[in-house]
Amino acid sequence: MKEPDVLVVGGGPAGMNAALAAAESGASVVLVDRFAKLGGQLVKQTHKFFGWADRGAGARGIELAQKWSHAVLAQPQVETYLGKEMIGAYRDGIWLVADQEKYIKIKPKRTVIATGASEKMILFENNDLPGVYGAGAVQTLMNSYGILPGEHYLIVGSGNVGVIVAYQLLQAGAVVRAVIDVLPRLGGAYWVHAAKIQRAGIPILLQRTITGVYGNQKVERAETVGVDDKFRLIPGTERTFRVDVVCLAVGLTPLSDLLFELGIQEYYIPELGGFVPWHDQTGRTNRKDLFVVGDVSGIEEATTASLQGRIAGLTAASDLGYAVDEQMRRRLIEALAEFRCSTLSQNVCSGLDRLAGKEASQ
Amino acid sequence: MKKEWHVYLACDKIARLLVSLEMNLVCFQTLERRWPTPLRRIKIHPILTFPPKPKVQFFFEGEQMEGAEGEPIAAALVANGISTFRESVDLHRPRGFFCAIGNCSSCLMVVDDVPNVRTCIVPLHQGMRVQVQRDKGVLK
Repeated sequence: MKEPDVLVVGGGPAGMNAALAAAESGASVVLVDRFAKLGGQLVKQTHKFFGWADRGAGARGIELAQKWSHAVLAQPQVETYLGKEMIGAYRDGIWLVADQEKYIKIKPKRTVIATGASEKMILFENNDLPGVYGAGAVQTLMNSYGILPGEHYLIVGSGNVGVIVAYQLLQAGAVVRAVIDVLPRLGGAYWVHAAKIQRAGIPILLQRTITGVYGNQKVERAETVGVDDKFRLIPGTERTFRVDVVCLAVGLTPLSDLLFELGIQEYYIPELGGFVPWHDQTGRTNRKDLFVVGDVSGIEEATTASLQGRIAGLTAASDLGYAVDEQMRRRLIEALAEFRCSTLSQNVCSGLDRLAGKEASQ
Repeated sequence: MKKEWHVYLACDKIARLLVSLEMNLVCFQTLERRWPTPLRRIKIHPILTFPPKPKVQFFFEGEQMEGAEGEPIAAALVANGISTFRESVDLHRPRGFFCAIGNCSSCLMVVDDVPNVRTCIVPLHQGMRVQVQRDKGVLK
């Protein structure tokens, strides 16, 4: 059985930074990720980040992924278990990692959960037909592996993910027929990206939803229809798109299965993606030895995830008696609050406020 | 003055139309040139480069295919134009690539006789035998 000071589950921006911060303070760290490579979803983000220069703005996600994963792999205090999945969390503090045909038991003193998020699904006819992709999956295929899954695309959802994927599809040489959204206004997309795809001739059709996809064994066409202010379908506004891929970019929801197993206090806050674990400003949940950082603690983005990771890593190390630069920790907490209010949508901010107003049950 | 304004607007409209047309044309042309179907590998990209990786041979339903060493099995299948990875257990509806993060179970396949392999996160190696999974999978 492994007994590290800190266990980190998830090797994305939040997890890597938590591991680095804890290890740099002197703690021994085990980092587990089910994918064979570190970086999480940063490895497919080819666009430049907004925000502050000293927090990685201006850099592309792929560059940040490389920088941080090199640092983690070079850090002797961090042991990485890649391509191995955390499959169980027991109440006596033991965690179980599946490694091919054997299990590894881990009993850490502190645990940081940074499992990220998964794509939401919506209902329409034949939504299980091959050709219906999570937008993130298409992004992974084209940006990480250089593979385009089809030729003609329809994007459902005009949030940040939908619009950026549309733009990146253009860069990769694909044909995007349209971006549709059920709301009467653009989703959370940055205007820069929305303007870019419209200049390139991709229509963003608002107040329109998808009703079904059809084809022989795979998507060949998608049916859409207009909706009114109360989301009722408007007959006569049907429109067919000849596409072989439909990208769903209808939001993300925290991957909190492990937290659920442990009975961590969760609250339903739609602005943050659904059920989110209660946590304080350092990421600590109602279980004192357990922290949540990144998208699993509420859907935000990579910059806040990396800050959250740093803060939780430092806090975990300081819990265990390692010397931590208190001033730096406080500065990070302030920076996180400031970054959120200045760049994130009002929605996320009010969701975070609501979560902060909730009680932690013991 | 008024007349000039109208001319300007008309020109602007035509220009916009041309830009969007051209964009689509460019896309169609590059598609034709780049993809002798079913090969779908991106060759030209303004930001990314995809240095050629060592090629490996693998078998899908007994048919020999080519992929890049170490890329996920599911990615190699998509590049070979395969869309159905498994069938749903009860209704046997086709299922394909969906989440790419090992979460949704849509890409579970039989790889080297082992069922329920999440092909979107398991790396491809030389000589792998990959099969469509039609049931819950049996451990032998």
